[in-house]
Amino acid sequence: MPQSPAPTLDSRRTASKVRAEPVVWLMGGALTVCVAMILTLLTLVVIQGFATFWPKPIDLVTLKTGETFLGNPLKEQDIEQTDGPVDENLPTPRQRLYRVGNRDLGQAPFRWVPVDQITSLSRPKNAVQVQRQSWGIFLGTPRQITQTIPADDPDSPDQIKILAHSDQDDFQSTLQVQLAAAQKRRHAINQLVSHEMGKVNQNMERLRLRIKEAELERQRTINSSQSGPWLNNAAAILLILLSATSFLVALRLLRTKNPAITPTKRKKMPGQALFVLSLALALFSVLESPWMSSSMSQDKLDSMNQTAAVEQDQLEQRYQKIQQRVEKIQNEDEHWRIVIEEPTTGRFAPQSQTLSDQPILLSQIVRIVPANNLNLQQKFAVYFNRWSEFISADPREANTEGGVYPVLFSTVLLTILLSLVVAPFGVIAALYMREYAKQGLLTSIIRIAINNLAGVPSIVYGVFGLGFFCYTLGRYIDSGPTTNLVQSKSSWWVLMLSLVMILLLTFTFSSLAAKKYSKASMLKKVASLGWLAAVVLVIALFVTTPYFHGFFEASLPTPTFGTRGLLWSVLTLSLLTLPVVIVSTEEAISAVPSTMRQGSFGCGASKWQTIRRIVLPSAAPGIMTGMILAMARGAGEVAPLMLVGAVKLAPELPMTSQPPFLHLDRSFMHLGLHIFDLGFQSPDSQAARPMVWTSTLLLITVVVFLNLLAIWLRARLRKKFSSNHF
Amino acid sequence: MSQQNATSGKSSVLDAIRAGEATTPIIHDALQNDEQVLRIDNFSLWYAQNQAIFDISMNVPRNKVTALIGPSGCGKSTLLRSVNRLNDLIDTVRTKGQMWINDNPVYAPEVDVIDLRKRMGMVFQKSNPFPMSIFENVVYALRIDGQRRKDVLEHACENALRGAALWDEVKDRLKSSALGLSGGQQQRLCIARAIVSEPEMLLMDEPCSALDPVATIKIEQLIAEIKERYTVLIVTHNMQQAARVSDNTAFMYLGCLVEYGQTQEIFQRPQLLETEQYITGRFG
Repeated sequence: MPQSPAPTLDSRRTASKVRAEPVVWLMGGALTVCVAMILTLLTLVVIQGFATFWPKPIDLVTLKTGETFLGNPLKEQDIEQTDGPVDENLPTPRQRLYRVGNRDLGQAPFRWVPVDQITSLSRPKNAVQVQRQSWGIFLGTPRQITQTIPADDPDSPDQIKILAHSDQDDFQSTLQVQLAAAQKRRHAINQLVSHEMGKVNQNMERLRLRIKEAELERQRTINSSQSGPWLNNAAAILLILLSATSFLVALRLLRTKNPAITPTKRKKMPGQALFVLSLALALFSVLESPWMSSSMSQDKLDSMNQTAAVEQDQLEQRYQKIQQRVEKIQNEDEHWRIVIEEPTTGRFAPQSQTLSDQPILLSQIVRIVPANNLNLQQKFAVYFNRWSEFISADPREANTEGGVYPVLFSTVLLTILLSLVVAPFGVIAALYMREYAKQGLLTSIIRIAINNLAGVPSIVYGVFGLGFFCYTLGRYIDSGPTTNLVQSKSSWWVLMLSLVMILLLTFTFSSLAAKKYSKASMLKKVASLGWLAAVVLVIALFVTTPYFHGFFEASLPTPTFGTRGLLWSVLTLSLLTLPVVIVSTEEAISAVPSTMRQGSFGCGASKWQTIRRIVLPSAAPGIMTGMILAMARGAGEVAPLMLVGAVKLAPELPMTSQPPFLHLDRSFMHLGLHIFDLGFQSPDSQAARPMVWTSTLLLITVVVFLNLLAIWLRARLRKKFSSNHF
Repeated sequence: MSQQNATSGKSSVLDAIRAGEATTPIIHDALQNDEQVLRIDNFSLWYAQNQAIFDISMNVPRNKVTALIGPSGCGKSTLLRSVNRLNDLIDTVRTKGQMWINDNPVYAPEVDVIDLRKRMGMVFQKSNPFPMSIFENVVYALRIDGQRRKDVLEHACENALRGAALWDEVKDRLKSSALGLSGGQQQRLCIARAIVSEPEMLLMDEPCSALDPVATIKIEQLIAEIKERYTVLIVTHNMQQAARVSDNTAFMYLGCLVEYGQTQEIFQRPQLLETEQYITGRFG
């Protein structure tokens, strides 16, 4: 037998096809591309976002035409040659973008200037950038601060006293002092208008609603007195009788020798039946209130009207007083002005476009930045000052200036509420599907459907939310059932009675139908049918109840919940993110080892105890993962919110110190929509562009922060349920 | 070759079982007089269409350790889990026959399964401490029973841990996670959990099969101590273990009981050749 030669090292080498090196390279490459894209995006946002508030230098530009102007240089680029031959030898002409502001002087706020047109360029130390309450920025040189001293004689003109001139040494310090004083006055006015006046207005509105409610009640009393109260009383007695009878029947059924009913069960049953009965009675008493005379007599209405008129008077007086105080401060405020000149025409910053002969009020100025005259420390001071304004102040000038505090607040609130709603819903649904539902075709179909829901375009949820939540559910909450649906009281009572009967019978049958070792499948079927019927009846009852007039009928036709608002946004986003939570919860639950469950069952725990004490705690980290995903998705979603609740500018926060504290009916501002609005919808979108970057940076930060919070929570849960001894 | 011939030649009980014929198990007379905790009467069990246990009748005497031995798939674990009706968790399981624990029926419509399980402690093959503190693990059975009083729980916890010979090792870290214990400690913790509510019977499903020899010896010593107070029914793969810890041994094969007697008898003078062959490892 010939010996085969020992294989050489070469022939033993594994083929590269087997090792699949190219595939590894391909995968690595794909990953690199992904990481690079993410990093680029983040870097861009971070750089642009952080650079926005850095004070930019102010150039004094003189053109060949002799025109001079002040401007913040923003960027420089080649002028595109569109016609004619391009001379390769000549350098490409360049142009520079200046932000020149001064919109109220009739100037375009941005200006492209060809670089070769510029004859001289300097950075004057005394040039300032003025950020104002309105009309964008103003670039110029401050000249003097003036105070008007009203003349004693009304006929003679007011005296104008120059407090400080820019040539004087103490100009800067005077400016700071006066500016601070002016801001204090502005703050006082704002406080009075928004808080004091707002409170009075709110009270007036409440008063109006109370009277309106009373009038509606009076109208109902007149209408209902025609049908007579005997019907209600008779129906009430009938209800109690019938409930008692069915209760007795149930008790009787319990005494029969049914092996499915253990002694412990038998002991509990009357209590449970009593609970159902008391529930029915509670419903009855809430809706009917037979011991309370709900009728509104004409006398009562009249007396209410009288007290309301007195209160109204008091409120109006208070309003007048506040108004006077506001006017007094405003008059005082108009005495303090500053003259800031711009070089092009030598005009000064006006109080407003119509009052162009009056210099600007000191209180109109948010901040004066002498950008060319700042050292690094001062620049940082300005920078952080603007950041803190951005985070903590209300937006100004169609959101393009000022802060985003209400936007930020609402976004965080929305996300937190969303996770509070979606977590219990998702966990309960997943628990039922995984632990209780029979694993069959139906469950599989439902599971697939839920998985697919995660892929439905979010705008579809928005449309659904608007159509169902706002216009159907919300309108129902506002005004109760629409008139053509309301049935007569007697038919409502028939529904009510049937509901109670069905509930009791369902309860009885389901108790009798023991789980195993009894042939009670028929009873079980009857019980589930009864349950279904009860659900249908409950819906019918709510839709047709003649006692329910909506919670906000008095404020109609202004809708309260029947329009876009925070509650509907939260619910819509919950629907949107529910699949994520359900899927991850299901996975987490099924990952709990079965030995753990068996151990619990072996100790004599019931299924619910096992779920509550063993399964849920073990699955908690996984559930949190789902929540994190849901929050990340919910916080960034804009499309459905535009339909169901987010607005460009909300006058009030959705959470205030006024009862009921959390105003779920209010529409709100959202960072996602804010970014869209700034970038594409604002009148001066070029001026708003820096704010787009900053807002984007903020949105990313918010999402990251919320996620970190959830991750920290998850880590804590994990630590709690695992060891650190190894 | 010759071995196989000898088996089939002398006795054909196992062949008969394989062929599905009804056989009469051999139950030693010495067992008849003991006081019983568990009585199994003609018990059969099916997983859907597959019968896993064939008409088993046997008694488990009080304060003794009874071992169930037999090759894999012979239904020992199934029989053990039938005692506290853990098999009910599987939808397709059907049963016939009856079991009596202290003369109370196990399989009857009026039986509250949860209550039944509370009367028995169970220890599983793989230690399964719950993801909570050692203390909470031990008192789990009391907690789910609604016991809230701290002194009662603490007392019970200490007793159970002492009973499981774990108290000295963990008394200083009762509040730390049970998952931080070693494998042997975890299994003893599971035993403590099983005995905390003073069960009428302790069911052990191969409690040492996932442990190293040192931990195994500790558990075996523990079983020997425990039988003073509890009746133990233990399933084991390990013949030496059965010989060491048990008082009585039942040999099962393919869902049938083959021979049941005092451990000494079974291991030294079995009445069936097959039993001897299985015990000495010359089987299959």
